[in-house]
Order: sequence, then C-alpha cells, then structure tokens
Amino acid sequence: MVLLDTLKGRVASSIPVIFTGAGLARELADVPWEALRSDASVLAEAQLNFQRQTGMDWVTVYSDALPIPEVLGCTIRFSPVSGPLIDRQMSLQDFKPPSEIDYYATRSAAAMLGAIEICARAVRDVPVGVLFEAPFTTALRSFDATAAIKLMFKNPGLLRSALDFITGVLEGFSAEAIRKGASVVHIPDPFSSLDFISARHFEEFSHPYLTRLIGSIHRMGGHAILHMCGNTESIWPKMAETGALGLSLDQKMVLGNARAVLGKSVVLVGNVDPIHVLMMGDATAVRRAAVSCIETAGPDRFVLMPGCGTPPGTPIENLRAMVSTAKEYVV
Amino acid sequence: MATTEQRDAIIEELKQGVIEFDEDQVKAAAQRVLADGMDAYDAIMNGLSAGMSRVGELFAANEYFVPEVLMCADALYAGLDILRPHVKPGTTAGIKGEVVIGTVEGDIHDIGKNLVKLMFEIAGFTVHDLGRDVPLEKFVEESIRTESDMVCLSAMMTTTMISMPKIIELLRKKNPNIKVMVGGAPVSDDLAKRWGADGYAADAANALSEAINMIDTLRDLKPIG
Repeated sequence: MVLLDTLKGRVASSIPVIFTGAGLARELADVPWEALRSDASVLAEAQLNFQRQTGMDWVTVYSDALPIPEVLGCTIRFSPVSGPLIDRQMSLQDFKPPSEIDYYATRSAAAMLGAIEICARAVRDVPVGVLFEAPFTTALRSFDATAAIKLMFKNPGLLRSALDFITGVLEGFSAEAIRKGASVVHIPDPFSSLDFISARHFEEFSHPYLTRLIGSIHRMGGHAILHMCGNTESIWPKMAETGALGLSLDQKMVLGNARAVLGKSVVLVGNVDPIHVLMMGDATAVRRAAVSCIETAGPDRFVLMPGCGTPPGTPIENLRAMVSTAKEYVV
Repeated sequence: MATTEQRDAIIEELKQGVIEFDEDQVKAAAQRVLADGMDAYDAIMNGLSAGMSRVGELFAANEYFVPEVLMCADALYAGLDILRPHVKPGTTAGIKGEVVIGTVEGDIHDIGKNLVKLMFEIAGFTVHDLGRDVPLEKFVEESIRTESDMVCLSAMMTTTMISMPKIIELLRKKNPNIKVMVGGAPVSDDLAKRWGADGYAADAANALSEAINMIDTLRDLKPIG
C-alpha cells in the first residue's frame, strides 16, 4: 500500500505511481461508453484491467466526470468522439435543489458505487480510489457555465447557495464511496485554475467548499488528493490549506518550486506531461521525465503521476516505463 | 451636435464602462451618442473597441481573468446593440477577413471559443460561428460556403483535441491556402506545428494577433478584392 503510506506521511517501500483516465481504461478493455458508465461490473473490470496492465499503485473507479451532474439533474447524451456529454446544462436561477438525493437512482453514480465495492473485494495490495470533480467545477459543468460565472459579480449569494448544496451532495457521495471500500478520493478542479479565475475568486468561491469537502472525507477515513489544471502557482499555499494530503499539479508547473514554497508539509503529486511525453513520446522520454519529477519533488512525500488525465491512445508501454522507473528508483 | 470636449467625454465613458463592466454606464453613453448626433462608428471604434483592447491588456497581464472578460463583453455588446443600427453604410470598410470558428465534435466547452470570437468581431472580422460539438465536415463545408480566409478550431478535452489534425487534413484537401488556427487548454504550439496548423492561440488576445499575421500572409499570396 505504498500510496496510502505516502499520503499518510510514512516511509513507503517505493515511489507510488498513479494514473487517471477513463477513456484509456475503456479503450484497453474495449467496451462501449454506455456500458462503462451504467454497469458496475464493466466499469470495475475495465479499471482493474487498467491497473493490472500498468502495475500502478491504485485502482481508480471513474467512468467520466458526469455522474454527479446527472445526480443534480443534468441529462446526458453520447458523442461518437468523446463519449458522454451533458445534453442540457441547467439554469442556476431556475434550479430547485432536490429535497432528497438518492445516488442509486442515477445509473452512472450507482455504477461507480457498485464498481468500488467490486474492486475493493478484488484487490488487496493496492487501494481503491474514486474520482469526482470539486464543487466549483461541478457547478460550472452542471449549470450554464457562462451565466454561472457572471453570478460571481451579479448574484454571488445565489452562486454560494448552489456551491453549498453541491458540496453537500459530494460529501454524501464520498460517504457512500468510502463505505463501499474507497480509501482515496481524487478531486480534480480544472475551473479553479488561475488560467480561468483570479486568486480572489478562488478564495471566495472554491477554497471554502474544497476545505469543507476534504475535511469531511478525512473524518470519514478517506484520503484526499486535490488536482488543479494549468497555472496554480500563487495559490499553492491556499491549496495546501484545504487539508488535501496530496496536491496534484499540472505539467506547466515546476514541482521544485512547489516543494520550495510548501516544504514537506504536503505530498506533491505529478507531473509528467500526459500529451507530449506520455502519449506522443517514447519510453526513454518517459523515463527521463519521470526521473526529473522524482528528483525535483521527491523521492519522499511524493507520488509520480501525469500532470493531468492520461489520454486515450497513450501507448501502454509508456505507462509501464513510468511505473518501472519509479519502482527501480533507488533513494 | 456635440463639441469636441463632449465627444471625448462620451467616448471615455463608453471605454471606461467596458473596462469596468458597467452596462448601465455604457447604455447611457451610447444613448447620448445618438442624442447628440455623434458618429456611431467612431463611438464603437474609439469607445467600445478601445475599452475592449484595454481589457485584453489586463487579461494578458493577469489582472483580469475569464469572468471579468465575460462581464466586459456583456457591457460591450450592450453598447453595440444600441450603436450598430446607426452605423452609416460604408463606414465598416475596414473588414480584416472572414473567419469560421467552432468547438470540435464531442466538445461542449465554448467559453474560450466565444472570447476569441468576440476579439475577432471587435477587430472587424466577419465571424461565422458554428457553435460547439461541430462535426468535422461542417468546418470544411462552412469555410467553402463563406469563402473564409481562416478556420479556428477549439477543444478543451484531450479526447476531442485529437480530431484537429483530421479536420486540418480535410480543409487542406479542399483549399490548400486556407489558414487554420487551433487553441484550447490541452493544445500547444508544438502540437499545432505537428498537425500543420498555421497558428496556435494561447489565449483570445494572442488569437487575434496570430489571425492578423496569418491573413496578412494570405493576402501576400493572393490579393483579396
């Protein structure tokens, strides 16, 4: 359990390596999107297969980013190119929060929870992780994003109410996921990046809800990793303040700088370039990039991961090269 | 008829109204343009458009972010809605080119695409917006139908980004001289070059300067009437 050891601050026997990527897991398992997100056994087997083929240090149960928006009331359609898409975003002004949330009434959410249970029974040497997006990103995915963003200025109270409600939904989903056997919760938050909103807006509309969610996850016995895409440099201390055990940074960020700012107070996670190196490079380039990450941010208090999700079409040999580099790295 | 001082004051109100995303101020100033018999095109270019140029600078300097720019765009459009119907025919001769723009198939993220569209529009381009989740062939059909100078492809996801080289190939087959610009979070300058795109837009302001350079190059190749 090198991943849990590292997240808990213990000395691990090797550097943990993790990947996320439902599209790649689906491609490797050769199953249709519809089955991946509606059938717990298909999702579990696809992600177990992804773990077995790569040798990574977790099984992450994830079909796509949309089960929680679906729980909130969004409808989904399938694109032949990218799989599930939100068919219709809701209007935040007209949104009536459901009085009761039943995660099992939404097939994709029920499939994730069922798959966690199957995976937890199937693996003993690696933890089971679950992935869903942060409150702010979930809000912008579920509601008309342009209108929701403008509420920051026009009606911040309405946006805060929605974020409060969404955070509660995510806390409830986390509780179910942990009860079913997930021990790691990976929370991507691409819309909180400084490529998108200011540090002031991050503090106002993202940070409080992340802190609340992560606090809940830890009280329930889970271990939270927070991922943000793009530029996050000036909010690294605030990201750490959320209480996340691991901070996963985009490949645009310099891990050595993050370590200099944050010290060893937090586990750094990252940040091999998933497109130029993992998808388009060869095993030699992957090994070189992996060693560079380990040497700038590790080897202790460090998890090796791509800087974002691993795209479909990434050669499996490259992922294996990344895993073997970490396992063979001599401290 | 407004004096030079009155004209300058109203133009400044339009400009500052856009920068400070004060829609009410922009609307009031636009109404004064009409009431005082000022030139609507002058007010658009030196008031609204100049304000948005400053917004672009603030965005590039990381002082404004996407939410601020969207608010400024609302103020700009509020002014345009009032002033555009009063622009005298012939005063928009400075059109820089025609552009087809859209978010590629499978991708519904269009905030970035809409910002690029806005920058093109205020710079005087004619923009044919195909929206989001646009099938590959639609880019080709629309570029031929509109005889556009350039096609701009946007993608937010790695899964959808990979259709960009296919679209570029299809476009080149039909029109070897068409200029293609790509942009979006997972896209990079390196990828744009590999796929044979003519330009890469890191952000909306950069998209505009790239577009102007590209269309200038095109005009060197074939004079546009």
